[in-house]
Amino acid sequence: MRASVIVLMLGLFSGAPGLRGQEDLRIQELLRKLDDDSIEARASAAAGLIELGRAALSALKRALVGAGFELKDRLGDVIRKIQDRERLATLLPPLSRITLKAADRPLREVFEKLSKQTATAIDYSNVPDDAKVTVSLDRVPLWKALDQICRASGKVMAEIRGDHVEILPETFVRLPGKTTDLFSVTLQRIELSTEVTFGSQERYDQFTARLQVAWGKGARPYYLVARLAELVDEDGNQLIAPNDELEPAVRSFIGPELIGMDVTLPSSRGPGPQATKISKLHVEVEFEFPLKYAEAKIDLSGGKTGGSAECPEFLVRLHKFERQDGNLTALLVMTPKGPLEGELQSDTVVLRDKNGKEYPSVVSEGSQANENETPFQLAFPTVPADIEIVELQIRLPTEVHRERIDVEMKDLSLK
Amino acid sequence: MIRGWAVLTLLLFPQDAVEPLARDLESSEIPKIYHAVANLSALGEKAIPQLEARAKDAKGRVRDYLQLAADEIRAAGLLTGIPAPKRITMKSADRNVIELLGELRTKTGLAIALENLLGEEKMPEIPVDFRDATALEAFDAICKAGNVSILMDNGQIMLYQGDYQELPRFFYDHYFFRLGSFVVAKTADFRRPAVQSFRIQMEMLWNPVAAPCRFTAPVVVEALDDKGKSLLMPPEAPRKKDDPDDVEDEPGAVSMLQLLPPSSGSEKISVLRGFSTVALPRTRVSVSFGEEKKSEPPASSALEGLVRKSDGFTIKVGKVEPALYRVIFDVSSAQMKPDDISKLPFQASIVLKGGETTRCFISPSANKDAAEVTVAFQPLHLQEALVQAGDDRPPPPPVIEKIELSIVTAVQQRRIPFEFRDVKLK
Repeated sequence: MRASVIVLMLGLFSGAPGLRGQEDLRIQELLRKLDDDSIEARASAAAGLIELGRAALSALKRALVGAGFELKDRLGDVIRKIQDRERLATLLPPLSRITLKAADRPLREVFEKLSKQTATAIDYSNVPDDAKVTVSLDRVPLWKALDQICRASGKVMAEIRGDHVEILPETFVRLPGKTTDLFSVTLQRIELSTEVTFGSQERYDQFTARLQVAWGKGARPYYLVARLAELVDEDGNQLIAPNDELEPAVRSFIGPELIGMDVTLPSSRGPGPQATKISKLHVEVEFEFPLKYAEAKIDLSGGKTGGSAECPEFLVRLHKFERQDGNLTALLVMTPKGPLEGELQSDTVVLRDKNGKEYPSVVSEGSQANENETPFQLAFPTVPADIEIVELQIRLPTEVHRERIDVEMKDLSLK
Repeated sequence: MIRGWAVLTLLLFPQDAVEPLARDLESSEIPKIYHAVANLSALGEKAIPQLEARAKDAKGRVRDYLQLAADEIRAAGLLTGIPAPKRITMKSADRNVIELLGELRTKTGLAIALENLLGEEKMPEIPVDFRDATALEAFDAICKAGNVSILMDNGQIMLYQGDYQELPRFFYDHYFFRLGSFVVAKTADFRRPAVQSFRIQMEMLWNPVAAPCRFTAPVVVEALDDKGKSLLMPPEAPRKKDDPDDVEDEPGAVSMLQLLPPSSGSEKISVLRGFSTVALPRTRVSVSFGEEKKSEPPASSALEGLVRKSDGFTIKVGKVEPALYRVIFDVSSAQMKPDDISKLPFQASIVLKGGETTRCFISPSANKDAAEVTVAFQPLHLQEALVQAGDDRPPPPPVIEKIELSIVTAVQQRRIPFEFRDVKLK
């Protein structure tokens, strides 16, 4: 291992004699730790390098030369994740970075300035008229900027309300959670309960963590998965262990207008309502974003009531494309042929009229007739009666980027 | 016996009838108290002034009981369609649970289906001994002795072998309350001090002859733990609904009583007393279909399209779909809009071939011309269908013999009391 570190360091310096500055030193340090004997140190170094993104790429690629088998694997993994994220950045709208400076200025005025620098809608109509703030932000990502302004004011809290952020007039409290450049995960509430049936000795504990997950306008994930990874009570008892693989909370069909949502994570392993503290709560939140799609189009021009289409990844057949009780409905049968990452949902099955206008579907899965075919009932409630439909497009992700956020919270007071 | 005693007291009325019963209201025995309330209620309207005068001088629970008796007298005059509860005395050691429940059904008319209890095994004889019990008290006592669990599903009493649960219970008139479970909870939202709560799940059951058509959430008027702490929620602190997922259920037969958490170390709730207000049918318009051919059940298609007119309502059998276990009616009226009709309470009864009763679930909605009332039904007992290997054909649909539909046109509110003592928490 030591030898490979030396090789790695040599590679770094010989390949980049001009490396300088704090960031370069940090990259060197992280690369050294990527080959550390401790698992935690290696994981932390990998996360740090991924966080640095493109800035670390050239150093990582140079380090591959001469790296040992295990280190090569780790370097490759970090490089792949950075490249995935780079590709994601090209798909997502540009990150809102907020720059503003205010010295004892009205809080409303500051939120007004912030609103002009982001596409995410912010309702600050309830901000107290007399509230003032002093704050200085230089290219700070949206969620961090909101947090800094609210904290500096001390008089307001930001909350996600479906398609916008609402600034509420209440004393600022730093909520447990984690904020990255793109995402924010905050722990809103913990509920502990014990249920007892009268006459029975058995007690049923329940633990519920309610999180608020936000991604900002235009960065809607295709899929969201959250799970409780670890829970330790105040006596050190590990009620949920990392390997327990609890059922995750899954959110799909995420509306295009949404900028965040609440996610509730329940578990039957709780410390009971007498608990005054949670020593450790670890939550994993994973966002999925499609990078590549497979697409097939069924020709429906000329009043066709069915048809089929295929692409390398799947074959689809459409039957009974007709109006029933005024609603346009159809039966779609899908036969997968290659790897698919998503499932049929409202915005993956779209009707198009002769003017190019798109109409989303309501998709409900039918019972599978055989192993390879899955039937779906489709409805298109928004298609007017006199519209000429020309095609049905089915578009499914074949490759996705998974962005995982680990939120570790310690010593949560329940008083 | 109590009825006879009440008649006797009427002869003594007014001076001597109220006083002895009012003294029973101070008893510590719950059955004695509520039998006294029932007997005071049976004295009729002439007793109201005396009950109210005495209530003015009384305090706490006794005042509430006297007021309840007066309210019951007023309600009884308006609820003529609901029979007075029968009291029953039974002593037996040589009959099994089915025979005992069968006798109870004969004596009281309590609508219970016993088919689920019928099996091939010989059932043991069980001892029962109770006096002057309401139909539901007697019913519960027999089920307890025979270890039969009682469920109420959409207004129908369901019975299953085994698992009788010894839950805190309270009987009054045609009604029966039981406490299912309690939940002690704490919510920490990090913005303010954590909040503790205590909830008790309470279920109301009833004799189907007195089925409520609407409920309001129960009100607790007294709740004390064994350390003397009042568990009543302060009126100025209603539950804050800041959680978008916290959708309050429509009040129904099962409710959660919201209370303050008991004192630390508390082992029981000494008193839990309150009332549940229900709406009972005062007037209704009832029609039936399928009675014409007594010998042979009518075909579904023969029922479809049949129309009955009554009291300004036109009720048409729209669709009969036995395979889907449902019947759809179109109800219209020259005086009422479809939307207003759909808001009225409906009651339905569907009888299958051979007189087999069902339980019904009613969901009204409105369209342009009429209210559409969908009645879904299920047989009351579990049927074992013989399925042969490789045969995935659905079982044949049931044959509907008779359909009854009632539109409740006026309701009467009635307060049904409940009271539990010494409810153990540990």
